[in-house]
This record gives sequence, C-alpha cells and structure tokens, in this order.
Amino acid sequence: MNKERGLFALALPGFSLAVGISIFSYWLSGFSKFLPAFALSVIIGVIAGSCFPRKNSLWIGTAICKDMLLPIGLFMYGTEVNFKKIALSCVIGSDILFQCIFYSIGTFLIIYSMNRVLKITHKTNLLTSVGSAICGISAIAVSSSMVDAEEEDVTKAIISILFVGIVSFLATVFFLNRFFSSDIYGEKFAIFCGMTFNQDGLVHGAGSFMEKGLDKLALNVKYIRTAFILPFAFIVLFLGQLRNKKVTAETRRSVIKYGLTIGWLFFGAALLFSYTPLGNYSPMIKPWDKVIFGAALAAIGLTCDVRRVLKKETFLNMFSALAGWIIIVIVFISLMNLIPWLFFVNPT
Amino acid sequence: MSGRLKAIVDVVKARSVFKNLSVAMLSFKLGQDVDSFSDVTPDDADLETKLIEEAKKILRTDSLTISGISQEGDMAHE
Repeated sequence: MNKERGLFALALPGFSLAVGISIFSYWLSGFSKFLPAFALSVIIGVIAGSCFPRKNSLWIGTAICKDMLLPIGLFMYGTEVNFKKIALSCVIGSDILFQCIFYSIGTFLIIYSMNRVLKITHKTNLLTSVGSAICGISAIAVSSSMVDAEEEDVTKAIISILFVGIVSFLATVFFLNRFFSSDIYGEKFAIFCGMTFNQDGLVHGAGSFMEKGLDKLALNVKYIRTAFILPFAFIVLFLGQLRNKKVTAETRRSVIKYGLTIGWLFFGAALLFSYTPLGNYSPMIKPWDKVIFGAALAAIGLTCDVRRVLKKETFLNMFSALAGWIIIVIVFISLMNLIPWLFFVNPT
Repeated sequence: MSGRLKAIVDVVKARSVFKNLSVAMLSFKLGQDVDSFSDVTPDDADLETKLIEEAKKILRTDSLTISGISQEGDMAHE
C-alpha cells in the first residue's frame, strides 16, 4: 500500500500538469478553429516544462501519460476517423481521389528528399514529411510510435507543421486566391484548400472565403487524405526502423511490435466505430478524446528540452516543409491551368 | 569508450511494456535523466553497475544480458 502511494505521489505532479495543460488547450481551442487543441498542448507543454523549477518531479507522471494515455488517445481519435465518412467523400470523383494520392505522396517525397539533403535528423524528417502529407499533428502523433521518436523530434515536426499551416493559410486567402479568378463555381479553390492545407482547422477557416456548400467539398477532400494515415504510418515504420542499422535487433523488434500494435489499435477503432463515431453516443464522451490525446502530447512537450529544439535544424526543417508546400502549390496551379478537366467533381 | 550506458537503457526499453515508465523509474532511482544517454555518453563503471542493478529490479529479473557488453564485464561488475 505504501509502495502504491509512493508511485501515486511521484506521478501526481507530471500527470496533473499534463492533464491540466490539455484541458486548458481544449478550452482555448474553443475560441477559434485556428487554434488546434493538440498543437496548443505540445507548445504550452514545452513552455511550461522549460519554466518548471524541478523537472525531475515530472518524469514519472509524464511517462505514465505517454505510455497509457497515448494509446487510449489514439484509439479514441481513431473512432473519429470514420471510414463511412471517408467512403462518402470518395464519391465526389475518382480523379480527386487519385490526385489526393498523388499530392500526398509527392509532398512526402519532396520534403523527405530535401530534409535528407539538409541532413535533418531522420526521425524529425519522417514526422515532418508525413505530417505535411496527411493531416498534420495527428499524423505526427500516430507516426511517432512507429519511429520511436524522441520528444524533440515530435516538437520540431509540430513547429514546422504549425509554421507552414499559418503561412499557407495567409498566402492562400490573401494572394493565391487570385489564381482562381476564372474558377466560376469555386470548386477548384475548395479542392485546392482540401488538398494542400495540413490541418482541418485551416480548411474550416478557408471555408469562410468560399461559396456556400463548398467548404464541405474542401473538408471531404481533406478527409480523403486522412484515410491515408495508416498506410503512411506503416511506410514510416519501414523507413524508420527496418533501414536503421544503428539499433540492435531486440530494439528493432520491440519498436516494430509497438508500432504495429498502435497502428492496428487505430485502424480497429476506426473500423469499429465506422458507422457512428464514439463521440456521437454521448456529448460527455466527445471532449475526452481531445483531452486524453492532448495530455499525452502535453507530456511530450513537458519533457522536451527546449534548447534542443530552438536550433538551426528546426529552422531548416521549417524551411523545407514550406518549400515542399510551395512546390505542391505550383504543381496544382499548373495542372489546373493545363488540364482543367482533371478537377471535375461529381454533382452531389 | 562510450555507448554502454545507452545500451543498457535500450535493453530496458525493449523489454518493458511501459517503456517510458521504466526509463522514468530508472532516472528517478539514479537521480539523472537516463533517457539523455547517447552513443557518445562516456562510460562510467560505477553508474553502469547501479544502472544494471536498478534495471534488474525494474525488469524483475536476476540477470541481464546486454549485447555489446561482454559477460566478463557483467560478472566483474556483479
């Protein structure tokens, strides 16, 4: 009994701080869709961890958050993925589906290649590439288990995603929209937003600049990209572990086993709740997937050494993620002008 | 020489269900962040002995075989 109480007392500071940050981030995110709860959890976690006087008191509690709340959070996030919604999204047009595949793979390869040239840490590289290609922070969180990422790798990747998200949104609504002046129905602009933004919140925000109903088209395109999270996570597992010669076979086996468990947990949750997301059963459940997942991300931020994040590699990573987005935008706009029939959308 | 401390921590991670918690407990018992050990962390015989002892308690095993650390080295420290 004394031993259990000892562990509880040791875990309390870190655990309660991580959960507190997550709840606070969730509350903040309610003010605007531009403030993603997960990103806020990590960033506030990094700031709080840097200011906390006795960081060793956070070790046990944050470890419990990472070991237990991350799988639970990923499971609950998986229940929101909803394959039924994604399947309906695909009926908007098979050309759009193939384009999503093309742009996702293209974004991944461009950023991955550039980061290899810039000699970015391999794990940071993989997380940034997959986050840019698919759905931002969620993709990073799923993939972090696949590559056995350090806290700094996750934080650097999230900073890059946030940076590109802000720049891409501002550039799109204040500058790039003029390239769509000939797009009478506005569908191409909606597809562009769904295809190139890395966060759902940005697509929601851009929706206010679209004709009524087209924001749904943009979100459907984004949801199609979300469906690729698992295939990309397994690609990242292959690139991160099977090609890593520096780890022992035992470590490699352990990481692969853990990565596959997380992957199938996520997939199983999505399949199980494919017809109705878990959150729809009760309004009490809905916030908890964000709070639980957020607490795990906050724990990652709390134990991150900010000195290892604020350095040249982070800025280079941000630069390559932005360059990857710019290249994809140029390709999209070029194809839109050269092959306009490629952007046909089935009437719904 | 370097990397032995990291090798021990990697084994604990590989053999634990809750790897972060195991590493956190190790850090707490030794009073330093063992997750920060890298391939270039210089070897330290005393710290290695303590690390192996605590790792055995956490993994609930009487012996700990770590690749790259010879049996003779283990026996000498035990």
